[in-house]
Amino acid sequence: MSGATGGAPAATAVPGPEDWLRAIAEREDRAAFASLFRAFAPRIKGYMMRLGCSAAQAEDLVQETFVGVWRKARLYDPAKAAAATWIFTVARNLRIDLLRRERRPEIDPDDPALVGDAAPLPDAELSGKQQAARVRAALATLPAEQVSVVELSFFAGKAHGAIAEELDIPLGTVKSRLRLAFRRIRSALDGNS
Amino acid sequence: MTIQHHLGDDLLASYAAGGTDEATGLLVATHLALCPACRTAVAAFEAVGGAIMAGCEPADLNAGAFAALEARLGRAEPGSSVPPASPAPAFAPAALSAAAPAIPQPLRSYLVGPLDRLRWQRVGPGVRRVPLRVGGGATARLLELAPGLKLPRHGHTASELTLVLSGGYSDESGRFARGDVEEATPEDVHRPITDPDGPCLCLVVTTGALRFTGLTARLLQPFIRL
Repeated sequence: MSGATGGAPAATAVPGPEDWLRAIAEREDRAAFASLFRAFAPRIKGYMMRLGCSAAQAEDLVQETFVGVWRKARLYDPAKAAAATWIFTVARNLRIDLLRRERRPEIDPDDPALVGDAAPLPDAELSGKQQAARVRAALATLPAEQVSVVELSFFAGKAHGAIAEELDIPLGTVKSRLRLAFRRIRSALDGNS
Repeated sequence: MTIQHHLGDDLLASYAAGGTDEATGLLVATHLALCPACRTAVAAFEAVGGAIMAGCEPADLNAGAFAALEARLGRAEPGSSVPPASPAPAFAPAALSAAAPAIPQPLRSYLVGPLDRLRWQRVGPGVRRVPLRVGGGATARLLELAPGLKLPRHGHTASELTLVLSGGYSDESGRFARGDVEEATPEDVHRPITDPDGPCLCLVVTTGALRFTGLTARLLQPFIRL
């Protein structure tokens, strides 16, 4: 199967989401699209409901996310992000656009005013998939108490005060746990880990 | 140019998670255009988002969800209608006067023209501003302060984020120049003084009105309203 994914040197025996995205971008591969849908659609729906969407809203967001994935697959850069990360950003932006009816300000990579990297990052040669693996590894080493505040702030979208109430811990503890967790997560890509 | 004052991890993570309001997101993204280090941090936090989403408890989809999706694909071929990665700039950076620094995207797309053609409102001696149209609860504006200006000592009723675009100022927390961000909470009271060698242009995002502490400043407040 790896030969069918464009013969990339890094391609492994079993094609994964990054290969599926490339197949969609290169030849509108509907089988790859179906694989991607099976792998991610139910998770995206679960994620949106966890963020407070109704089942119907979550279903709509899944539809729009996959239309976006199909259309924008050519913009996906495997050097920058894992497939799951990129699909997350597509879903996140659609949620802001469709539910909050706000714009999502983002940098323009082609902006002449953009300040480039002063020096290549120590791990700039890592693919997005490898970077994501490092971040997941960093998450796996966090104490459970830090993971729970990251999850609540990050994907339940809860304010720090609400987390303190829910977990019945002082606000300062929420903030210090988040600070420690964020530092560990950042260091996964800084090369300081 | 080295940025000394970065955005806090909680704001960067909130931006990556999609939790910031539009005005705050505009300030974060404009800082990111000037700060490669914070871009790396956002990439890490987005990878957390991807991992969390991919690890979420799956929810059953409606029967026929994929068929409905496939029916739409014929009308949306990949690459056939790729939208630009960001809104087209309202004007080219070259249109800025030579002395003015380039305003990075996405802030540029919120301005209706070059800096010297914006509708500046004079709000006090040596202070002028342009409110920006953003959705959500927080407000965003460009603020330009005259060189060598001493602002009245003031606090904040909510949080205020200031991103320096050109020039600089100093206060109790240090010196702030292009790309630097100052986060002020309701507890912070500061008295900024702008650099003497040129005006200081900032993007300021507030979620509440400023609160001045001195008597003179309180009397001035209705007129200043930074």
